[in-house]
Amino acid sequence: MKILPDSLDRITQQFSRFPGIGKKTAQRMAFQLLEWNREDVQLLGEVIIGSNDKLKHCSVCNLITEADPCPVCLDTRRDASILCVVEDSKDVLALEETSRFNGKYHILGGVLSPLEGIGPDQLHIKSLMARLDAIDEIIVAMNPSVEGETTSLYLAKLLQDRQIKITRLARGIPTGGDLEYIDGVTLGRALDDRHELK
Amino acid sequence: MLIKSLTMIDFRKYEQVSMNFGSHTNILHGENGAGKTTILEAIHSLAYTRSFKTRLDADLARHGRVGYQLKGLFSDHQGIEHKVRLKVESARKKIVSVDNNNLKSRAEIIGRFPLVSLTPEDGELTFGSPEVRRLFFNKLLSQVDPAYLEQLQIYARILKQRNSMLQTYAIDGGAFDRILIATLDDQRAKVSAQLHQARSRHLTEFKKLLYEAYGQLEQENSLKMAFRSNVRVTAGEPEGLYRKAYQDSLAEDLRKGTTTRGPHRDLFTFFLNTKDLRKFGSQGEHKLVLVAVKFAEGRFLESFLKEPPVFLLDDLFAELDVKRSLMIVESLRGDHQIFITATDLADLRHHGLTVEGDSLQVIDAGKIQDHG
Ligand SMILES: Nc1ncnc2c1ncn2[C@@H]1O[C@H](COP(=O)(O)OP(=O)(O)OP(=O)(O)O)[C@@H](O)[C@H]1O
Ligand SMILES: [Mg+2]
Ligand SMILES: [Zn+2]
Repeated sequence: MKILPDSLDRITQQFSRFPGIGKKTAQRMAFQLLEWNREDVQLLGEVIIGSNDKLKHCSVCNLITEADPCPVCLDTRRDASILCVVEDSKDVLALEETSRFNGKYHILGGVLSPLEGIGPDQLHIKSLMARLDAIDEIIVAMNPSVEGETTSLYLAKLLQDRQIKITRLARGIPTGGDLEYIDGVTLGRALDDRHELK
Repeated sequence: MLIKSLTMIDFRKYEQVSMNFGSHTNILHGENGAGKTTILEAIHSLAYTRSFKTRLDADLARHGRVGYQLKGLFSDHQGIEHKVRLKVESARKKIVSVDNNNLKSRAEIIGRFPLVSLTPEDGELTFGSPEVRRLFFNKLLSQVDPAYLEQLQIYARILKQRNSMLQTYAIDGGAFDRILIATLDDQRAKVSAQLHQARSRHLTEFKKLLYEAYGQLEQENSLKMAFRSNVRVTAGEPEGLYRKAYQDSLAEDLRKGTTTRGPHRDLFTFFLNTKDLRKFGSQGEHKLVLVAVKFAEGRFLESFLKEPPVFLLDDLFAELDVKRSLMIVESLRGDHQIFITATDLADLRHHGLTVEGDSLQVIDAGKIQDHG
């Protein structure tokens, strides 16, 4: 005998589509939703639909935005000669939190992975190449995965004949990390990426 | 390293059992099918997160169950104890914890609880294809060199990406990004050079230990082991040599739809009196080399990890004469915890093992009774 109603099943199914949300969590969220009053549920629905209608990708940098071009691209106080290339819009948020970067961004929309059918044409690489005219430096800020590395090296190869400085993020020891407890691989990498003290 | 106790729940034929082990020689006694090998498998699964027989957790769960649980109490040479737990809830959910901390990757446990196992499956190490020997050395070096394990994983991933490009090309033809494959090959050349360097360096050390171990077992024959790199790295800078080899083989790779050159094709070969053991060795000659390899493995692990490994010896006496069996057991006894399986205690005595004394413990598999 089926105890739970179909509508509850349907909500659970939708919630479990989110990354990091398993079936149990989705079920808990669905049950929680039943406790809400009608207005709150309505508001949630409207917010979701509204944002989905409004959100798009910036036609210049591919950042998620409501207005095209996005506020970052329009911001004239930002240094337009330096471009930070990232995998997705979430990475922009993380970099902005640091308040250390005042250039512009370019969002590739993923990393190169032939296994998953993602080649250069599936990423925003052509639009990156079209932006290079006034650019002096490109910071490649990929995640430290094999595919992130492939993507960084690929971009470096594409750009090798241009007069553009290409840099990448250093990989190393997290702040608050104790040398004694850092695993050998990370420590080795930090050694490789060492720089001069003076 | 010692394993002091083990609990198995729904593991192979065991529904739920716990047992304690002695710190010297443990004899697992029982008739065929009693569950002796299963106990060794459980110990191995705890230390390396997987069995030496299968990678399929579904096969390890008791028939009719989807998951299983293992718990072990290990103790290092300083007497510091560690609780290792492995819990498989379903085919995709496996949790391994050490002292109640869940591991994020296998790499975190590899090398912490060193074991040397000698099981009937290991026969493949001398009889089988080069692939088996590559896997053996990869596992061995990964335990003493975490960077090596990471490099292997990176290499395997790049290779998969590259092969998928070659296959797409073979099926679709035409469209093909040369810059992308050159990028993958630059990346591959770098890690190939690292792997090559680690293999050469560690194998020089391993060979010394191997020849020494073999010399103790057998004085008439001479054993040689050769490591032949698939890309000749002689004079010159290794990364550059790999890059060149990869460029030169691209046309052939495109034709064959797979990657033909690289460390995934390196060869490790045993020679007995200059003849390829795999082709010409007798059963007994194979077994002696295998035992020597296992001894060398133990000494190699011990010298790097500063921790004597536990020996899991399944079916040790098959194809071995009494004199040598005795030598093997005697040389391990005292410094190492060993597990030996036996179907027949009289047979053990015949092989020179006294079943009495406080360093011996007989566990009757099947009923699991401790005669400590
Ligand atoms: N997943 C499983 N569920 C239940 N029983 C299993 C499972 N896998 C194996 N077995 C049973 O466990 C027994 C094998 O145990 P094991 O290999 O440990 O025996 P053994 O004592 O080493 O025997 P031998 O002396 O023949 O090597 C077999 O009878 C086999 O049918
Ligand atoms: Mg057995
Ligand atoms: Zn923009």
